[in-house]
Amino acid sequence: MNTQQDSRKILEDLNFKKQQLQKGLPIITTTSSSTTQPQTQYEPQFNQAARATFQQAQSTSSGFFILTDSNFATIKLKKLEEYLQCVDSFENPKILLEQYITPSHISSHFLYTIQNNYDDIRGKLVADLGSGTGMLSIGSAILEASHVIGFEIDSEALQIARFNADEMEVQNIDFLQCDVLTDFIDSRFHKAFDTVILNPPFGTKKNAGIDIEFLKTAILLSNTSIYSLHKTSTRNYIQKKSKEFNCKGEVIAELRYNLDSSYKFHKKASKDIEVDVWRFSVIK
Amino acid sequence: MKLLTYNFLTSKCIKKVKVGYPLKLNIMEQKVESTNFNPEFIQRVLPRLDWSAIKIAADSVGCQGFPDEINLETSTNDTELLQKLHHLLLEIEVVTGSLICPETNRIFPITNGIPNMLLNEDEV
Repeated sequence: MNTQQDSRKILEDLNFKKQQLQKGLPIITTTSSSTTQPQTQYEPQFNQAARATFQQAQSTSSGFFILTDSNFATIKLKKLEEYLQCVDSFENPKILLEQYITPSHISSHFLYTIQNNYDDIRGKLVADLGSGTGMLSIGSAILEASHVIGFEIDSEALQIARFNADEMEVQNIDFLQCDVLTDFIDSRFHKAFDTVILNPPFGTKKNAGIDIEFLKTAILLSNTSIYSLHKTSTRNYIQKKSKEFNCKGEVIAELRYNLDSSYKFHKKASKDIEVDVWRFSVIK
Repeated sequence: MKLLTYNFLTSKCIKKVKVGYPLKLNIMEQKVESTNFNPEFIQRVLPRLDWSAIKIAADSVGCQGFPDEINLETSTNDTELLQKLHHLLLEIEVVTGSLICPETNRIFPITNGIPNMLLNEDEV
């Protein structure tokens, strides 16, 4: 079911890009970020391997990727996505915890961008807040983080995460049961991590603002950078908050996030929401 | 749970606990998994760690030869020490055991390698 929907999504996306091309429009939309250059300026500097990888990302992704002339990643994007397709999802998703797995397609592109464009995973101490069944933690471990700690409140999710990590034979990873919202108020984990990665709950009517609470904790725990996903509709608010938290925030990619109807109250078979990929750097 | 993670854990969240660190470490089952030694990582992470908790961890698993004090300036060139730290912090997995609050003796169980640091509402 999942793979069918994924394939359909990829096909739709390819068709959309084809139409854009026929109209002569660029496929890749960049944000107003000051660090982003028009891609033509960068392309000639690309080596062949990096170029192939970028084309792969470009042709299969529902988001976009910033071209840089660096290539820090040691394994190929496609390989990473293949590995992450083996990560088991929630058995009984809980509505209150907004449990749905970050799709392997989005996770692999998200993590690959963090490593390839910013060199923020390999050899680093990485935290994953609200790690669920371990998708982003395991992906970071595969991309050779020195050590990853996944923080999660739910026992069932943790058991699946542990199983997933063991199954995939990644050793550089710990999962820890705690409450991300309350257990870090006065903690030795403050500034302990080089990189903090999270796909926070987006918040529902019952727990509005929970993504900001997660982000606030993430920023406390990092000494360098934080990567997070937030609804595009909240972009201005997130920008404002990141300044309050003494961080420099920029949107590095835009995604269409395909939530399968995990819960009964999702009426449509699947629902697309627009999501920003944020990078926050801690002002030292 | 790797002993690197142990180094950061406290019971400070418990009501009336002042320091809650270092936690007592009780290991019932452990295993060793060899991982790639990255001296730069150990060097970088060492200043974020507490040496007294490293010593407790070393004693608990029977790793010997760690000095009583750490000199961060000279230790960066001490490959032998960095290698020992790598083994202690990243290669030993506590599968089953518990962490114990030094002030209240509250037990945090470790099962299947996962420490449970959750508190009941009446404890915070």
